[in-house]
Amino acid sequence: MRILFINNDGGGFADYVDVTPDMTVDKFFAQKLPGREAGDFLIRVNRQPVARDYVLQDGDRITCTPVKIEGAAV
Amino acid sequence: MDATERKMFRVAETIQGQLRLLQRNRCQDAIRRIAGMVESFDNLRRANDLLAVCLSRGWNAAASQITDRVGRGLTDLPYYVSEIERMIDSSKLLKLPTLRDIRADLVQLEEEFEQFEYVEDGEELVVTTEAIELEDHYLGEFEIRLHIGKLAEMKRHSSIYRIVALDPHPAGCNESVTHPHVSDEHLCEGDASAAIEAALTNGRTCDFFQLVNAVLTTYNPHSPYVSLDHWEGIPCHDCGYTMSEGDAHWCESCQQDYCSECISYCHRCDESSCRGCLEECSVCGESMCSSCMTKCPECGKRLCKSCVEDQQCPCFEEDPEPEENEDEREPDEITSIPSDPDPAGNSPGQVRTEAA
Repeated sequence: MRILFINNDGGGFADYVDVTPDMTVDKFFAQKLPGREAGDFLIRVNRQPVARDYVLQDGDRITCTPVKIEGAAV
Repeated sequence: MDATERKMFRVAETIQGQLRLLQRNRCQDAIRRIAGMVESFDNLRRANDLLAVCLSRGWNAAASQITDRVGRGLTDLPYYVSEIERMIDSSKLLKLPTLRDIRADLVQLEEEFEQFEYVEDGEELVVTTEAIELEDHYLGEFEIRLHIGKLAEMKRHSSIYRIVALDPHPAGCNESVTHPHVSDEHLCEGDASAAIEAALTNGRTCDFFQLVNAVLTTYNPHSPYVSLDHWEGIPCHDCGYTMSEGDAHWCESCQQDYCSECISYCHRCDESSCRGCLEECSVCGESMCSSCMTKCPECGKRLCKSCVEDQQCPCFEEDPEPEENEDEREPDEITSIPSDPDPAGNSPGQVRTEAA
């Protein structure tokens, strides 16, 4: 099963990834962003907020965007 | 299709058109760099031919000049290689989205942000943030204005969007800094830079606004334009003038900040010091810091170390110097010289004076 994963943490890459059929949003997040708190991210599946136990479907588009990012001065 | 829907498709078309142009512009940039590199190779090939001619005719001096030219040509190559690699990487990042994807992003934008509008005249997508407060400093609401009509001109992505303070609460020392990470309406993206570029080049407008919003609602105390600790500015300890951190001068003696008008310096060690911490040397009259002042070992008067070293204290003048006594004795010695007439007709006094 393939889904589109857009990781806005760091480089902001977008790529298709293979996941197991029973993969929940929670498990997927822990796998892809280990050591990070899901509460520190806006997680959207197909551009909609979903529950943590939502089971990802083939062709889904999941976006993880940090809610706090450190800016800088030039 | 209703008016709103039509407008949304127009916006999506504009974004897609601009991204297509951007893709083309980046390819043209790559062509220019590759042409530069090919020219460098041509120069190297010509130099190689000339070198062979020089060697066959025994022109060693000319051969040496050509090898120098080859060396200079080689230094350009790594630059061209890295530039072309960079362009290839950025064009990989650029995936032209479908109109449907762009439209879906615009719909998501409306859902995620309460205040979102499309300003047709300026071809801008405008999102208004909630009122932002960082570490008890109220900064107000900001508009994030993305100029979608200029996406194709994107060189530095921060130049195609602006952060406009709606209810500005700027730093006391610099009115153009409306947020610790915003100066002259430009956001310094910090850690979000790569993600923002990726979002813009892929037409993911909602991700772009969410990322910018995430930077605006976060304070990085290690790299702000103006630190929140000094948001109201630093007051001069003397006159009270509010200044920026960079304009403040630190007095080591009293450990306070001073403005450029109130700060001075020690004329002996050049250390910055406030006027209150400087002492005037009673001999040379210059202002000195406390570590450059001392007491005269003879009379105990406060004066600078330089004047003590040079024995400039008036108490030294009071003690008669041996040389000065000699000068004083001089007229007596002159008068003691026998008054034999000089063969040239000069008086004895005149001869002594010239000899002296």
